[in-house]
Amino acid sequence: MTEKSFYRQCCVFTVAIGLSFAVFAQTESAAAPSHSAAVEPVFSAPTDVPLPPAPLLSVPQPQVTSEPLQPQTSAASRAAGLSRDAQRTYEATRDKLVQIRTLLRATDTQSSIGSGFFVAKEGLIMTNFHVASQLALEPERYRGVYVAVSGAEGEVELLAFDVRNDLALLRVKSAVSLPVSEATPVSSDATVITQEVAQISQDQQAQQDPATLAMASQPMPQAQVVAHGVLQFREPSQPLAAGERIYSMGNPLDIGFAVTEGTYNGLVQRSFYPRIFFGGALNPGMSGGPALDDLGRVVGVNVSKRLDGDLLSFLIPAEFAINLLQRAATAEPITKPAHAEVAKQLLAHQEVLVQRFTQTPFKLQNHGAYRVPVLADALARCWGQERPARETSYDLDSTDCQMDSHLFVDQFNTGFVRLRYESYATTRLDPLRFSVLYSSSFKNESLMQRSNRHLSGVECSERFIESGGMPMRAVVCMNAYRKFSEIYDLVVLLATVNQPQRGILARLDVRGLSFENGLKVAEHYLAGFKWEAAP
Amino acid sequence: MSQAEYNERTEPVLHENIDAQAAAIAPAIPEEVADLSERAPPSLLAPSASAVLGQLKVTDRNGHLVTSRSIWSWPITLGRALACDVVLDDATVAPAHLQINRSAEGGVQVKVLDTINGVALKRRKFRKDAEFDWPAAQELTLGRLRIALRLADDVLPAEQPEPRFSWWRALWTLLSVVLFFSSLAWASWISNAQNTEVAKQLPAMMMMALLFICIWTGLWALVTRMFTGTFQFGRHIQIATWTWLGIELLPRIGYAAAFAFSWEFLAQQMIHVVYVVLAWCIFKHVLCVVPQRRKTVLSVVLAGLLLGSGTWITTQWLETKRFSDALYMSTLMPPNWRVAPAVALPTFMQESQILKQRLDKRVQEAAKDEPSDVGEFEE
Repeated sequence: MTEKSFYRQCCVFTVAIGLSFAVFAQTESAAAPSHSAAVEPVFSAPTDVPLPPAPLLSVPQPQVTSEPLQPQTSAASRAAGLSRDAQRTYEATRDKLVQIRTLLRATDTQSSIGSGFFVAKEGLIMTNFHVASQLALEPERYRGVYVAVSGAEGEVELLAFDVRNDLALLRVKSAVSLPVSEATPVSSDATVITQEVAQISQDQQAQQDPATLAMASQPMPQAQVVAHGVLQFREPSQPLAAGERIYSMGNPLDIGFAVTEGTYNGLVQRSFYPRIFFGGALNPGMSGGPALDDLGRVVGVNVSKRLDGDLLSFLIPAEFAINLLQRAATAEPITKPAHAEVAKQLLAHQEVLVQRFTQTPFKLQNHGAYRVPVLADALARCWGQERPARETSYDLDSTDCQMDSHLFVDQFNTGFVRLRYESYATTRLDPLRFSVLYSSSFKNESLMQRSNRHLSGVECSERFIESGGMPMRAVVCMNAYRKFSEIYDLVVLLATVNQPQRGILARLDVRGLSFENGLKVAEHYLAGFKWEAAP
Repeated sequence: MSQAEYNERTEPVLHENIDAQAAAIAPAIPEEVADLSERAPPSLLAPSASAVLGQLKVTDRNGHLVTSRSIWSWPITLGRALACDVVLDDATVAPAHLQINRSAEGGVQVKVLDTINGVALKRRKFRKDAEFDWPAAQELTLGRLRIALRLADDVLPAEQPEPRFSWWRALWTLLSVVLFFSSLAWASWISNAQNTEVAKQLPAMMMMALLFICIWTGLWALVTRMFTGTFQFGRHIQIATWTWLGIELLPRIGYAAAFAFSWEFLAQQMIHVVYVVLAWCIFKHVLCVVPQRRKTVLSVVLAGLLLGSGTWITTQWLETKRFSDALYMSTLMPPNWRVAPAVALPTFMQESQILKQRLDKRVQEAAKDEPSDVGEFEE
């Protein structure tokens, strides 16, 4: 071997060693925990924990060709087996219904669709906040349009929103209230809306009749003219009785306007904000549409459904829509990103959330001498699982609790509380082997390391702490919201380290908190664990 | 030196006063050698007539022999020119590079002749016209060559016995293999909560490990054979098995210490311990292949280690703005191993106030990196 070839090989070798180390490390980082291939990642969510309600926002999907589109006629309603009341209600109110579309300004393609309904003669439309959230947060990129049953379209502007109750108030742009002629009105609240200030032609007025006034099928050559009615709200002092029929309306999956019949089942238990339990089928695209009683009065606004069940849908009680309407009917349109307002409403929500969390006593569950804090029944649903030692060499009990306080914001959910814990106990594994098992579960937690569009990367603080008569390993991690100032997500991890062959692993997730409240919640939660050794 | 001077110097050295010069310069020639020289037929002694004064060995940087010359008289010159006493056919050697002579005190003197590369003794470089004493048992470097000098009056080291099979080395290798398989079994047992699973997985794991060790050490042994002429298979097995033990045990010890003293930073940086063990492994293997280039091999391996560690740290920083992929210390040990005290809950919450500052900084840094959408909202 010559000198030159030797040095050449040395250089190649150096680079090879360096790259090997780097590749090895990246492989190690990406690999699953290596020491416990046989141990299940037991900190994953139990499969039978109910999923949170899914908003009914419809994102444009490829056409499903397996089912024919439903025509927007009474015949279709009859074909669906609806009652006469439903048909009547639908016919009477369909002119007040609109589809809300969010379009990208640059390409004029739709980004999302939902439903809405006219609530005032000034062209005010009520819908969900999650339908109009892009108008609130990125008005420079998105614009909103409404599409009436007749097919006529117009642009809308956002006036106000209520994040906690998922409501938004829109207004048709350039809405003009014109006197209604004797031959034309459907109701005294009928309003003619035009995109340009122009009078309705005499020909059109002559052609209009009460039944068809709301459906101006052909746009005017120079101005889009749509006449519409206004839905009235049912008085909050006249509550519905359980079992009463209600009719939900909207435009599911952009197929066409439709009515869904169902029953009023009272308010959802353990819902953070009042929600009506609607025993009917809501589908994506119906978000923001009205739910009406027999007299065509609005009792609620479509908002979400359960994905793990049938006919489990939810409505926002009408009183919240009334409040928003009263508050914001004359508001100025929102033309700039409203992150500050959203943050303000989220902070208001988390104040209530934290107050309820800290002031409602925990329910303590017993696991041997451990006392583990669990959310009270009034606050949250909890589900449990058990795996006895006869199947494995250790006992494993787990519990998963979740507060139904989700808020939809900017395409993700926040504002909720979830806690899980696992109890391990063994007599067959020695302490060292148990510690390896215990560690593999403690390690197997997903946290957001890297920043994304919504959140910063996580930062953690950890220590051995003494609380409740035992030492524990506590980890407090938080992410900051990038666009909503002073809002954070909290994760608390805990592992008891007082017993060689048993222990509790716990995790608390709270989304959408102020920093101070985050630490307050963490401290309250950690203080809930107790060890009551035998005297 | 001119050609005339050279001729004048060499002619008398070769043909005149050999005996006198030999007697003066080599008084310590052992008797048996002297006797041998007297007993030898005169024809063999002519023209030098007496014993060898020394042996000059020239090697390249890898230790391979280039030439070996007997020295019959002093001084001798080394260079590329054919007129030199020892001709060194290397482009980095000057035509007349240096001259070696015995001093009156019995030492060896070196005079550097007309050369631009000079002569190196250890780390010291001697340029043209320099003169220095050449200590015994040290090599000089001329360009890319090295020369070693053995004088006739040097004491010969004792004869070394041939390498024989070493039972101790074999036992040591056997011990390392036994420990290797034991650690495999122990790691499998300790990581599996189900004894039946251990029993099922262990044989396959052992076979895979055995196969890996054989392939790994076999390849190294082949390479060693190419370079040194011997396989040194046992040595490579020792290195591989001890490496495995180091990778298995050292991180566990590190994690245990991190738990005991609540040293989160140590727990988050254990990957570098593994790197160091791997670097040691590569170093030892390569040293078997080229034992004479210890410093070069060490430099290469250290450079690779720094490159690998540095790349990993840099990648972590660019992706997550932290130096580790571990967010918290997750390895828990038996409770009685804990030495660090547990603080009161309010104290811990007070310490956690620092998170706000760090998070605000992350938000600012993320804003600077806009509009880099890293991915969807992660659960």
